[in-house]
Amino acid sequence: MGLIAQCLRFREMVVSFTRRDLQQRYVGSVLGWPWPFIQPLMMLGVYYLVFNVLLDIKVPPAWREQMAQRLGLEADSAAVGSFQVIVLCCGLIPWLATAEFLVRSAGVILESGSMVKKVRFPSEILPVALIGSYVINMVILFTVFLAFTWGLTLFRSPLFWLFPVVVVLHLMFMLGLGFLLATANVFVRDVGQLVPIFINLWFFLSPIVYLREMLVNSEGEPATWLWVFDWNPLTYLMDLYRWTLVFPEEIRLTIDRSGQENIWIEVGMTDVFRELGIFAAIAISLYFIGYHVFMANKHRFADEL
Amino acid sequence: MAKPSVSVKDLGKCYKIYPDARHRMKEWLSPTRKSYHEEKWALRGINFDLYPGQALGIVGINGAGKSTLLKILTGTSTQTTGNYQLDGSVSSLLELGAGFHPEFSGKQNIYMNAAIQGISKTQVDQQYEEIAAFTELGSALSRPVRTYSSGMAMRLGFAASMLVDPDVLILDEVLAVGDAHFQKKCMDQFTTFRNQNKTILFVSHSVFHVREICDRVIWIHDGEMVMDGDANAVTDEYETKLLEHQRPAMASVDEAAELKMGLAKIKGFDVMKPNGGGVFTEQEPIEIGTNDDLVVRLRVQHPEAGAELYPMIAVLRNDGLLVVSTRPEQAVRASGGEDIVELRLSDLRILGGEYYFNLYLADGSGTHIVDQMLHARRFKVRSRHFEKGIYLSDYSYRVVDAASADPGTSS
Repeated sequence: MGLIAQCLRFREMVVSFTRRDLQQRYVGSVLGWPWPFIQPLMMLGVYYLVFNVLLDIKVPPAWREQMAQRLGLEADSAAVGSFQVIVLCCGLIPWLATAEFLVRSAGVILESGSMVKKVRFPSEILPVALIGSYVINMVILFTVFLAFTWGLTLFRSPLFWLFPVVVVLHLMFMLGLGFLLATANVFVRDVGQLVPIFINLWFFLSPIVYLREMLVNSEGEPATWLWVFDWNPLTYLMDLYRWTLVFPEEIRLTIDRSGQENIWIEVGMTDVFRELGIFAAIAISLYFIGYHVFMANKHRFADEL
Repeated sequence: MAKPSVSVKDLGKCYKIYPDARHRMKEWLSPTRKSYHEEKWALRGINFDLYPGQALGIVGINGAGKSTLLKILTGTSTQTTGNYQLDGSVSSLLELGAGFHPEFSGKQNIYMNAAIQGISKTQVDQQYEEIAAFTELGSALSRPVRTYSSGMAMRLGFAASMLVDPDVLILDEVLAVGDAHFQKKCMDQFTTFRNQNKTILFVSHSVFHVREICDRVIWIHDGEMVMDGDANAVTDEYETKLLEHQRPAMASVDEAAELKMGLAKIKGFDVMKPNGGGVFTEQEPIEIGTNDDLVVRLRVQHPEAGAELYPMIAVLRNDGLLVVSTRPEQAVRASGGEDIVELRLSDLRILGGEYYFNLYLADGSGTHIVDQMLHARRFKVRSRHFEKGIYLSDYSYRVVDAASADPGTSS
């Protein structure tokens, strides 16, 4: 927990670096400070346009009907219709922060090269300050999102109290990976080139703009490669965000594993805690490994820049 | 004696030099642990103790290892061998604008710089006025740092490094870009520092600044300590060595030029004592008085009889200020053997201080230098009691009776 102590000691630095990072994203622009917040909103718009309008990825109609039935609403009512958007936002908001942070974290030491070389300061602060600026973004977007969905009383998760835990685990996950990427990129610059490509692939292989359950073949059977998701930590993270934010447990959509018919399967607390446990284990170990690797190598950074 | 504030023991730094990034990969992946790098010792066997109130200068040519040493002491780089101890808080300024963000204002950067050093905002608030005044940047402090000149950035950087009120101050070549006024201010600050029993480590290429600030100097060459001692003694020795380094370098340039220029060469020179009495020997320090003649007998050689040569002399102050450079009106005709040309600067009206002269030999065009001896010899001009400066003019004072002062006539 040395990092927390260090961040507290250098809190003014973390704050001013975070502010600097937010500021430098809009400094010199005409619109100014709203940019860091408007930009992700516009990105959400783009994803909505591409995946929900142009590609028209739909929740299977049978689900919609069943959901409407269960909720005692018309299948084509606005509330049921907005489900799609809500699912999309719920995955995209944390994803945008993760993706942008990871891409930038690979360059965080190189970007501050002259400082790392010439100024004595705890460089582990740099990834923390960077994550800070994306967390602020994420929190603001989530606030907007929650204000919207909680207005639609349908989408209130009884598991909301777990949301802060999910966010903290998410941050540890990001930070751990960020530490690893930042360190690796100092020694092998190729990492910085690979990260954006990898991030892109990761985006499509994770249930972000779609739900796992939507991946069915032409016969309506689950796709054969669904096992990939079991090995993707983001699957668990996305599930956790959706469960804690929007899905009342009893309406989680899934399909019968026997693959014959779309039916409702209730998600019990065991499922929630199983996934929470898996993700927590991944996030916490990544965080400690990443931090350890960074700290063990940081004395060599200045010589490599 | 008190506890040393800086104690360095057998410090060494070895860099692994890879021809390119792929070789590092190969080395990592090599099953036989084959080595793909060369070792380069940037520093080796550095030892010194520095006590509160001392100012240590570090001199050496580029690549000697001075900056590596300061980086290790600052803590941004790690030593390969040995260890060091620093007592008290340390502030270092290794590069102007390191840690500054160009898009932010000078004021924001002062706060940011403080944050990097772990200083709270309230503490900066208390000191801000003082710092702002010290920089003399005035309203420029609210402008982005990218609009600053290097001199302005230096003021900001220097002031920011003063914030911590360090016990040990480490500076790398930072005075170079400041104007004379601000340099003076910094020097005064250093003096104050030393009087407060604080320690300074200072790297500079300006031997003048090193002498001014430091009482002790370490000379590093090829990563090793060549000399450690009194500032004047070490810098004198260092300068002498520098000149020796320059001469063979000049000679090798000449070899190429010789073919083209017809082998014109400065073979040597003697400096004549001002009031007769022969020549100054090589070892003898030259000291002359203001208004003495500086007479240099230059031995030049040109194998072609009748070839035209222009021997020239320039006098410079030890900080490099050109005092006078000369050129003969008419070319000297070579005899084919060695010719001796006497260059006489009569009634040299320069005031007390350290000077040196450069000797040049130009071909018949009078502009193309074919041989030269930079820093050919140092000489001292004795200080005078009343006059200060470089140049001595004739002067007189008289009381003018107001009634007889007639602006219309002059005598």
